[in-house]
Amino acid sequence: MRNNEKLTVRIRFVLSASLLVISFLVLLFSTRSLTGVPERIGISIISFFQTGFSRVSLFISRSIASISELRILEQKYEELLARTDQLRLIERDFSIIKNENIALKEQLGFSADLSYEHVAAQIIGKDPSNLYSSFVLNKGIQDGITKNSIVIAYQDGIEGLVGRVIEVSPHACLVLPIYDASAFIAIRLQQSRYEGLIVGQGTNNQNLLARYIKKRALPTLGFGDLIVTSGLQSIYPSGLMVGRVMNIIDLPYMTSLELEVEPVIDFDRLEYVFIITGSAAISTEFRGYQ
Amino acid sequence: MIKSSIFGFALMIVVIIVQSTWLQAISVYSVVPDLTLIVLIYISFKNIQPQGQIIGFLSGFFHDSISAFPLGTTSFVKTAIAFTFNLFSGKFYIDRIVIPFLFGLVATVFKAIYIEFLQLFFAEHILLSYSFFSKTLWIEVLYNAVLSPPIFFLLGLFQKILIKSDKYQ
Repeated sequence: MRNNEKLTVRIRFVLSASLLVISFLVLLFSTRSLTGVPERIGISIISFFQTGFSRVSLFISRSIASISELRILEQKYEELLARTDQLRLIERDFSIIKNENIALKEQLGFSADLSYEHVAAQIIGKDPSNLYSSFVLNKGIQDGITKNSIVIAYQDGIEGLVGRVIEVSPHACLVLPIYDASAFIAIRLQQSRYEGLIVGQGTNNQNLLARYIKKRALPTLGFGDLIVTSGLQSIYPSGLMVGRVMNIIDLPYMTSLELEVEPVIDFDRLEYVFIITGSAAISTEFRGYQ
Repeated sequence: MIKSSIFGFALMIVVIIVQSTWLQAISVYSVVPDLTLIVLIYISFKNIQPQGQIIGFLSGFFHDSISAFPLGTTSFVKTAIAFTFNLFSGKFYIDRIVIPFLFGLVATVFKAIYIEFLQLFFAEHILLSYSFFSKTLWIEVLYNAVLSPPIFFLLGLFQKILIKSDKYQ
């Protein structure tokens, strides 16, 4: 009996040690990018179920929301009828202004917005751990998504950077958002053109930090200044909007400035995103913003 | 042992999916409780045999595949935690509230320590670790500790399929 207990204890130790060694070896290999296949298999299987779970929760929340929405819709319908008449008049003015705008753009030498290939995707799951902030999208290799594809989103008419694809399977992909603590983005201040590097703080409740901004940029900086991707030594194309300056940190013992940056995208409200699939550059730094 | 390991593993997969989807709705300061950790310590403590280690090891790979963690991190951490709690198996009886609360609390701190240990071998940009002064860790510690007693109670209802009958229980 005592021998059996000793044997069980020995098995426990040997098995645990073996499993720890295997997982450590896998970790060693995966961090050096020697593998990738097991992650793809895992994400394929899990994302299938995540889609199901996501749809169930979406169905329930939408059903509940639809009841209250019905009441609101009735009121809004009446209001909208009244507004329709007003809009007919505005529409007539709009077509005049639109034509005028096209003519002015041509005169100023702006090219028309470049179109780039993109795929719309839905967030179906978030990182189950609290250290990373990645999320899973319902599009993968079969939709033309590749590793390091750029993810953007439109919110309130603004096009902003969301992150990049770090792992991709046939039907799903894993995205590392810009606020993740392991995300680094080369940026440029829109107005003063000074460059820097943005790092996330691991949570979307905290602002991003723009570092390595030269101290001589201080007089040109202002609260609310726009920050865009610089495109330098980076997978991100230039001109994608990242955020706005919310605070300037100028400490005497630091050789550069630090800026607190609020992302232009509100990640709490993010449900759908666009993944850039083509290699076309972003046309303008102001798309949809001004 | 095989039967209880399969059930435990299946349960862990379901919990990982729930954690990555529905649980985001109850996050506090973007921190979600680690239900897989609570399930794992329950299985590891209640089984004298190393089911917890096997379940932690296998489910860890699935966890890492939908996370930005390098593959193998969670496997290592969960195996180590399962081993730690398996050492206590059969050593004492647990009550309904206090011990599960302490288990949830201690297991989360152990998780942070094991990740910190792994971080010694890798650069910071490859593997992130908890800061012991950040609120993220301590919110998770408290969250897991508070949720442990009710989850232990719920898992107790499935004791027959999750735990291999043994004299130490």
